[in-house]
Amino acid sequence: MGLFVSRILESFTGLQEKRLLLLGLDAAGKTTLLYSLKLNECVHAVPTVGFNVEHITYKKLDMTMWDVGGQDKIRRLWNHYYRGTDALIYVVDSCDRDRIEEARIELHKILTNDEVKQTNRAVLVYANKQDLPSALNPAEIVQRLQLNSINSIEWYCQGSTAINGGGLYEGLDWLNKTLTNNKGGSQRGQRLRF
Amino acid sequence: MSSPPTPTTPTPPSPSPSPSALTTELLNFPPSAPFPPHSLSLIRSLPQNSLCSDCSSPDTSWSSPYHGTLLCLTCSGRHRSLGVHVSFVRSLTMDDWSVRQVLGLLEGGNGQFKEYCRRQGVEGEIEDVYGRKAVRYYRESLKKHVDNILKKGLESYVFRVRTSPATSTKKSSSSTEKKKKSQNPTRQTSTVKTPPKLDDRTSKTFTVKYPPSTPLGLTLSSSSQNVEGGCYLTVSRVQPYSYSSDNGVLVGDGVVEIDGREVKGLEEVMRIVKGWKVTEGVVRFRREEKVEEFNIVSREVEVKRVKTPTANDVINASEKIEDYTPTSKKTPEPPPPPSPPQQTYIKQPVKEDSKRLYSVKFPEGVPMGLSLEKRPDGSAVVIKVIHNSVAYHGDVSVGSVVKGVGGREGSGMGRGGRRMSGGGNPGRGRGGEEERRQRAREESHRSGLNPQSSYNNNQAFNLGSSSTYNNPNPPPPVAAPPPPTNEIEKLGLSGPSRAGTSGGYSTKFNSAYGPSTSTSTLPSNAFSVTFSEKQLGLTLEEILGDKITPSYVKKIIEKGQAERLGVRVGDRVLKVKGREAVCHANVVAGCRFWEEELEVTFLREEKE
Repeated sequence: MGLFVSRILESFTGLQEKRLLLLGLDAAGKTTLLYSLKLNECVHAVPTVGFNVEHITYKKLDMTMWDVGGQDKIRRLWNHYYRGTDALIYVVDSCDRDRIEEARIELHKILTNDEVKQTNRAVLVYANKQDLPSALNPAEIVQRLQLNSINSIEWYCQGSTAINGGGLYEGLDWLNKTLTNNKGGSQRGQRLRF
Repeated sequence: MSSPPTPTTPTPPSPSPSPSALTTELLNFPPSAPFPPHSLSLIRSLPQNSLCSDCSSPDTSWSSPYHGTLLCLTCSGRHRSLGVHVSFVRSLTMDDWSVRQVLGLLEGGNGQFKEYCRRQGVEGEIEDVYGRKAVRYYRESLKKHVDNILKKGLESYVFRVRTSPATSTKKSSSSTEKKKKSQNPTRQTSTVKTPPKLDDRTSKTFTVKYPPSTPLGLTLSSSSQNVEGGCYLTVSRVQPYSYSSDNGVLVGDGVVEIDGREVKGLEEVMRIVKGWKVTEGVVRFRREEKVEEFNIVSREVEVKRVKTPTANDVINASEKIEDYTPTSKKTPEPPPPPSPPQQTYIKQPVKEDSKRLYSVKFPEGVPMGLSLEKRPDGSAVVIKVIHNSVAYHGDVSVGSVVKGVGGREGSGMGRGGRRMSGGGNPGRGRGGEEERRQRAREESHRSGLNPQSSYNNNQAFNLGSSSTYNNPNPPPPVAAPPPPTNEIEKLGLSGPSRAGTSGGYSTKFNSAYGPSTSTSTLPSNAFSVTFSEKQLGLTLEEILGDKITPSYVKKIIEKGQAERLGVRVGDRVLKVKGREAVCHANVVAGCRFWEEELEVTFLREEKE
């Protein structure tokens, strides 16, 4: 019934309800990014123990974003959130060169999960903290995360600065375009936005 | 994570008698795992680790291994916003750890970090504190320290146990060094200090507080002479007119503590002093004082100089500073040859009796603070007196001639220098003291009868030359009598016009300084100006050609402060801040360090 109503609403407003999951290592900037999108301001986030969830409407997307804590131990809880997600937003700290490998392992682990494979159609990688001088640029992030080896779903790497909102909407634009595309005609591609 | 591979293989038995649970735990720690429980209990036991390092809230479930501190949830969030290059935040309960990170917490500690910040004057918001250079240095030091531990092998790692000092000896040297940074600097210094010898002599310690952003004005050198007294650094030079000199720091003082911390190296001092830009600094000095019973020897330099005779000079002619000599480093000098005591004085004509004989005792092991130059007759003349040195406080003035060292007549440079550097042998120098004082009194008395000299004491650099000029008699037998004209050419103030004529020098001098200088403290053509702006508006120049380099005004900047105050080119600087400026260097130094007003006395020499 709910689905029916939402379809009706969708046909009137053009809004599509999507469930998105924000993942990434601890201190990557997931919570800051979420509230930067929601409130359009920089919040002083504390480490997320548990999760944050917010509704964000952008263009044709009515997104429910789940931001789950990234500490080592609570990463094991991520798989409880996988079911039914439409897209994945993976946030990487571009300055944390030491842990970029860890980030790569985590990302590829997520993408091999069966539940993710079922519904997830896109992964948006935010190369966050681009404002810092030692940040890796999105091209380097693509290389370090070995995004080119992903061919099951669409991916997109966007440089961002969550504290001032830089680059966030460019990423959402891509999501909007990808997710609102006709289901059958989703084209696979590797794209990269600087 | 970022840590290097940890030795996970079983290791040979550790050198310590019983490998602690901690060592085993760390040795078997996988590259990444939850926080090891034994280490956790040790970390909880560290001082101030029960409260958040930044906000002192009782939650310490988060940490910054870079700084070795424990944090609360809120502060950890703010730490994360600094970026991983500044602070990397780990949860004690929810994150996996590497050995390196665990060691960071074991070797760090909130107490240690906060103590460091306090000493460095680092305070404020988290964003300010962790961006500071001092904190970055701490971070890097801690990282290096952990690297050293890993390099040495975890088998030999012993956690510092602050409560029982016995175990601290087992620590590796790097850990010991680290421990020096810990919360108990006073306890550690107290064990190093107080050597047995200290009881035998009197030493006084005093502290000088430096306001923020004050240059120390000290040159320190590491020396071994004071190590038994707990001082690894000695003041080798005091910048004239600096804050240190105004507070009575002398050359030769040992540095005991800086900011309550014992210092052993110059780098350490630099590090501490850097933090003083914002905070007040405290230096504790130690000075050897006069001791009566312990192996007393006095090294003396008798210095003769010309002076306007006043009544005070009669009494104060002889000064005395005594100090101990633990051992005489060189072979003792032979006893002084019997020389007629009146020799030096009888031969001097009565009319040039503006000389004063005085003696200064220099403590052993302390730089005398004067430079001597050999003159053609072989005698030694003082060409430089370092400000605030022993010689300075002994009222040695430039131009004085060394008459004897160690209770022995001998104005020869070689003798003087040798004796001064050789120290002296015990027991000497006391016998002749009374006699010498008597002689000095006679001398002064005689000079009092004949107040011919018109020189002011301020022109110390002239006095030597005039004295040598006025003393055409053969010097003591140890030195060859020089032709007097040579002296004048060498030491005369400026130009050959003054040299060569025997009386001319004197008279010209008189005219230069005015007729009434014999009793007044300043010549009549001297004038004082008070500068209040930092830009003085003048350029000074030292007149070379003699060893004593007075300062002349070389250039006056148009419409500058000096021009307004009536200073002219060619004026000579006599006094700075009321103190006589014996040489150009003194003047420059004096003009550099002043706050509200700078009083300079100039002398205008009339053109003939």
